[in-house]
Amino acid sequence: MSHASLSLPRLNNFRVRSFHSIERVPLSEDSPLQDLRFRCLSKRARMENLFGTAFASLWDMAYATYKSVAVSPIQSSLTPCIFDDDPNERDSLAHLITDMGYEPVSTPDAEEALRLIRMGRCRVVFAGTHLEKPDPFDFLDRALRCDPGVNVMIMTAQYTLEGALEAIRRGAADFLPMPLDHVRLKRTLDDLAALYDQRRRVRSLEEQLLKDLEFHGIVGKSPAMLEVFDFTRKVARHYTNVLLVGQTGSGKELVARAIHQISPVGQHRLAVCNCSAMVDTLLESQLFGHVRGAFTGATDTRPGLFEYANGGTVFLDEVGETSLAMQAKLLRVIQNREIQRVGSPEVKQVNVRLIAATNRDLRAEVLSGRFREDLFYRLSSIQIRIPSLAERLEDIPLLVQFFLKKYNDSYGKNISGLTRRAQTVLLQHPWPGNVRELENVISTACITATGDFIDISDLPEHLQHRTPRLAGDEEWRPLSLDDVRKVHIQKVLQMCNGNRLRAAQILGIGRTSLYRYLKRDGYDVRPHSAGAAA
Amino acid sequence: MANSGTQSLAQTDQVEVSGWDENEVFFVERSELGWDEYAGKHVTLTRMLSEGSIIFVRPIQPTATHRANPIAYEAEFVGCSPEGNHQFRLNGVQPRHSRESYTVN
Repeated sequence: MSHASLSLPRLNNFRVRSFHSIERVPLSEDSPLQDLRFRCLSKRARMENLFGTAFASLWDMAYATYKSVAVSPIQSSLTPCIFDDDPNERDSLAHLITDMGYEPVSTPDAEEALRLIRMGRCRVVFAGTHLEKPDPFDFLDRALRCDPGVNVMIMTAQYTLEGALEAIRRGAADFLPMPLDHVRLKRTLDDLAALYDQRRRVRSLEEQLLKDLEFHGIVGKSPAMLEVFDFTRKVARHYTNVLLVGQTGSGKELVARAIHQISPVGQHRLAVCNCSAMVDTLLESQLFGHVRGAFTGATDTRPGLFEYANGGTVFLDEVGETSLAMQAKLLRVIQNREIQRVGSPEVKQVNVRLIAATNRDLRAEVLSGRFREDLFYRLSSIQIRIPSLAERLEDIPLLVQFFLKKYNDSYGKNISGLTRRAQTVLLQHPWPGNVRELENVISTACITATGDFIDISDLPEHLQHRTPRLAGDEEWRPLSLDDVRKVHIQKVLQMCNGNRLRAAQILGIGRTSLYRYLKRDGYDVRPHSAGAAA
Repeated sequence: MANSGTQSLAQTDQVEVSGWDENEVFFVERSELGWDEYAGKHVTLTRMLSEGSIIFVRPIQPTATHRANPIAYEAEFVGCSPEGNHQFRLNGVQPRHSRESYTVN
């Protein structure tokens, strides 16, 4: 309620216009709020003598109104907990903190204090150390286990520098000597209130940012992802085949859906086919359809995905897993725009845009003879590479927020975020399963967490105990360059089934150079019929 | 609009299963979601899972307009198939809730 909105009665020709004058009273710098309260109460007593109890109750109402507006929302949202078994100390501190504009809760019971922390009601706790406990830091340890972000201020009459350092080392926010320095206490509380307010504002800005940075269900602010979004927008407008390359779980299907939605055929159908999930015969039936009696179990005639999505888009996921025979059939669709249902002699015309995706290096697959070169060139007229999550770690906080929102809604939770140490764990993980793995981690944590924040203990168990390491370094050994070259050549030769010409092409060296290296490494380089390398 | 029409397409119970195996390695496998009165929902995987593992099952729907969301299940080991694969019963997972809640500071 604002001051101006108060309707005040006329009393003995004394019209109280507003209570702004209370604010205009010059205050002492040491303890402005205490000073103000004292002046208000003195004025109330004087006014009660002059105008009677009617004015006194009006004064009380005015003072309550003033307090409600003088205490900023920042201060009122910070609820300090006072945990002390000495009732005098507790009440005195409670009054002091109230005068500073905060609304404390006080308790002599450790379990009650811990419950308030666990529920997220109190983020600041003042704990007295003269409590009868064997270990004065026992409460601190338990409080930090309940909420690693809680600020525990330990108050002690026996202040020592060693004690203060030990308390801070164990996670205390401050170690305050008794009697408390009021100015320092107020500054500490105000700083914390400002910090929480800042975090709230950051969260709110991040929510807005999330909306702005979401691109058809894909979230990212890293330069690599912004480049993908930009290229996708440009490519989508043109009716051409697209090849999406990226590790499993990096979001290829989402990009394919985005391309379809933005494209001129966005209002038509999109069919998604995962080529790795099916054997050849089933895949052929799914893509091209079949007629009744074409194979055992074909009890009726059914169209395939190409017919279903005629005029729209077909997304072929994991196209690198298809057999050479299936690749020939796909090439026919691209070249001639025609399909044939399994078991039918009839050729049908279709007009579909093909988006293919793979987690393999298709160029290397072509060179090793496992993928048709003509199909590769037809599919890869436009190629978009989706970066792995390890390449865009800066997107993790945004993705976490996105998945938190999603699973808060699904599971009926109200989780605000992750603790700092949980965030650190996520940033140190190599993410072999990419965004899919991150989504599963957040989903699991949302199921497990009971508080407002996800902590390490809510993450899947293997993440809780994992030693931080960098991506890709698990097999690293300090080898010489010659050894690295030797191992690499052997791996490429194995991949090419011993075909030296293809291996040399992949390695980017001439065949003669490959022979020279093999000879140097002690391999038999004489030509042989089987085509084996060594 | 083309999407409004219906055509009878071969439907599968194909699902994408992801999670962490008994060696705590992240995996993604395609499988078929089965259901019977005795075992309830079940999937067969090539790898073994730790007891009480949470796995995520996402239906693969070729003609769905939106990508399906993965659903969390607790995997309970049922037995091995003659081919050496592992069969798991899928038990629904209930998210934990605190008994009391306060407004977040």
